[in-house]
Amino acid sequence: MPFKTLALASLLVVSIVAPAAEKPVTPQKLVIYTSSKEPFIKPIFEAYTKATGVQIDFVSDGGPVLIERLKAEGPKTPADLFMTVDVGNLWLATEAGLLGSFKSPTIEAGIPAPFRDPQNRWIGLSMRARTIFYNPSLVKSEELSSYENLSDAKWSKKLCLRTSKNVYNQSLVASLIEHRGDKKTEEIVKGWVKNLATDVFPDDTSLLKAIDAGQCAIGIANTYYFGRLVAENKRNWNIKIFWPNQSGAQADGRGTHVNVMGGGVVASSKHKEQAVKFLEWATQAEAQQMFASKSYEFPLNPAAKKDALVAAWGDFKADAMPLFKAGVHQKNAVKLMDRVGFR
Amino acid sequence: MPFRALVWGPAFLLLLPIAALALFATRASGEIFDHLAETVLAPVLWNTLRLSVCVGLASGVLALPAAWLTSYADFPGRRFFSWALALPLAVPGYIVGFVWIGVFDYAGPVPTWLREHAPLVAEHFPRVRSFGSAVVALSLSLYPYVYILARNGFGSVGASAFEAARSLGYGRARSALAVVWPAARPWIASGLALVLFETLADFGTVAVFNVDTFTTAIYRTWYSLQSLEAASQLSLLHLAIVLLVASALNRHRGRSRHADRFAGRRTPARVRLGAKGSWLAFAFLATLFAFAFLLPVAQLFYWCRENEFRGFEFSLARHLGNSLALGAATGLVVIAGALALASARRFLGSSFPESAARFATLGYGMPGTVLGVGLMVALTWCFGSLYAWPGQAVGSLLLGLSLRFFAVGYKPVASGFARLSPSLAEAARSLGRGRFATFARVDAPLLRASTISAFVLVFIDVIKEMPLTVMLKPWGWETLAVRVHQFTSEGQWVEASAPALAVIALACVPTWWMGRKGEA
Repeated sequence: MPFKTLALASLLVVSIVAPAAEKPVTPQKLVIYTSSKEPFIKPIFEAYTKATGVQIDFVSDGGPVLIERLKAEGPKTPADLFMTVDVGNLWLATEAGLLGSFKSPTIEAGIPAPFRDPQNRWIGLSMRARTIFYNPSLVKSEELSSYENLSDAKWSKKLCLRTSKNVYNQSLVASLIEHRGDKKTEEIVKGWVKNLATDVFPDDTSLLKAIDAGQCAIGIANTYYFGRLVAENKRNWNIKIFWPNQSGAQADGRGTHVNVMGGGVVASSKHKEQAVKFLEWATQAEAQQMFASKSYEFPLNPAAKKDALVAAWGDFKADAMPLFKAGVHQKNAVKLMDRVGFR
Repeated sequence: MPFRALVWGPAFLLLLPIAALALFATRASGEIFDHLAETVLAPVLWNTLRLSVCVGLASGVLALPAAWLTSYADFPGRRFFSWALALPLAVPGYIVGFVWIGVFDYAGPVPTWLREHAPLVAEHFPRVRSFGSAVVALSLSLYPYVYILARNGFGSVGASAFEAARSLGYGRARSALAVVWPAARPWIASGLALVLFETLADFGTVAVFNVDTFTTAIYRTWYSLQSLEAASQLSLLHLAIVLLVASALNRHRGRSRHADRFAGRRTPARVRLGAKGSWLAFAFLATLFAFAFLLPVAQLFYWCRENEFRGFEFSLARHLGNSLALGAATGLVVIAGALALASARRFLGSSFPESAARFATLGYGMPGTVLGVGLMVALTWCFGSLYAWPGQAVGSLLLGLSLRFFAVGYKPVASGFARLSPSLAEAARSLGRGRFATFARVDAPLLRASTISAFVLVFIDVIKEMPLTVMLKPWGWETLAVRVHQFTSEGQWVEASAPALAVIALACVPTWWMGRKGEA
């Protein structure tokens, strides 16, 4: 009996002490807070684990929830990386001091400057455009020109929009505020609301389906939703893509509004080096290609190839507005949409 | 003394998230609240009010005739409907919602078919993304609360009471009103209370139908206007409304115990309906069942097939296991708390367990996101992180869900206690049994049925719950509802169909059991 007890006790002691006695090695584990949905982001994390052996634990929830969580956890946070699907939330995280700056020549070589934070606290990993889609049996592409033009009375009862609760519309309106100012933007958005063919949609996918069915002649949606729709159901969709604001003087020809999925290193992470390594991996052509093809987005590293389906949409000029501005104007954009009754 | 701690334990825990919200609310929100007051607050208040009233009314209109027919009438199909009409409880409103959009929206199969074959009808086809649809979808998924409880209430009226009324010269209809209504009213009020609380806390369904209520306004203020402070202020306002509704409904349930005196083993003879009556009853119940249950299940199945049953992989079984475990664990925690409060109320005989209970039931009217963020922040303040020690995340989630659904479990347990006959216990005491022995030998066996009902109701709610689970779940750990959320939030209904069907299947088992039990 006493022997057994002794054996057990020593086993216990050994099991407690042994790990502590080991040399500290580089941690083979990263914790990521991400607002990407699990089904899309998990394969990417798994690819990283396969390539490097580093395990990734992640939480997937809305950007604001994760930001509040990081704030509350403060220096005790287990998170190493913060990733969101919208630049507004990245900007909010930097405003709250949650992201630390990092420097890496690999990243700088991979991702063009407009898609990186000027102070190196976050980078974009893939790009999507929020552009105009139209039903070719109802509209000719010559009739389309710009986001601003959608407020013209000729589109009365023809335009479809997603709910203003969605961050992508907020960023789009924020970009209008940046280029056109508050007052002009309010007029434009008021015009959009006047032209609505039906109530706003809960998501981009049902909006695209409504364009296909002819309920709407035109609508605004993110490119990858269209990619997914076509990839999942290979029938002849009655939807065409249009790149607005491609020509004209100044703001008229500023380019199509784009947004990024991106991430940064959490300021109080204990594994910053590892976290930067993950970002370096994610910015290289190979990973970029995988990222973009899985989600039908545009890779940011020019060396990476687009998915065939995405490449078929052709090239376009993207709005060069520094992305963080979308975050700066977001609150104003929401208030403006409230005022004009854009639900 | 330990009793007091036991009583205040659950109630105190609910103070954590509310305190966190209150603290946020006291911080200045700048002009945000003014902006809300000027633009969205009035429509949001109005929508919340009319949604609650309409869903309450519609649930009653659907549930009461159904409960009446299956309790007191006889017609072909009665036995089937009496339990089948409880099944829609297993179909969450957000699933009814996305199925409706999928089927009845302009691009969906029904309007498309109509445009090709009956353009005139198609032109006047009602809009789906609307207030009316939200009312219908919520009522179809919530009416079973009223249905099940009303049937219980009807069942508590014995034949002797009827006969007494008839012997006094009352006609059939009048005796029904005079005897059944007073006995069933508290049950119906309890059912309506559940419907109203669920409606006030709903986010998933109203978001699908694009109706702006308090819950969506809170979400938007936090997410888009970047002000957790103003969102907390809205949340406290919302909490005040819930409190008002709760106290208004409580008044209706106060004087209700005399009914049991009429309870008898014998139930009144059913009225056999004539051919026309039978047909009408059958048509009404069949339509209700078809829209509330068959249609969503059939459409989900159709999407599954369209997706070549890709969703049915091994991970689905794991998520199902997680849902099951979470539901069962929460059920046990809630029952433990409810029994503690209810027995304290009985043994201490003072009123404070009652007020503690009333306070603790507030969690049911709180939207999951609101309770979730309050709890998340409060627990992080206490422990530094949600992952400070192993198992903490699971514990937090369990705590959150238990607070959220405490009322669901407490009500049946408390009414079980209320039905305990004091004279029976007094008899046992007079035979020399102690207080606790009496409880164990006499009262506990009588409480079994209501305790099981409480467990089952909580279980079903946890299986369906989405926002709180999404917020507090440990990493790499998912339930069916979380899975559904990941797809529906991106409008991917086809992919969401497999986990959604699994949610319904899992919740169906206890619902079916409950429906059967009422049938006996």
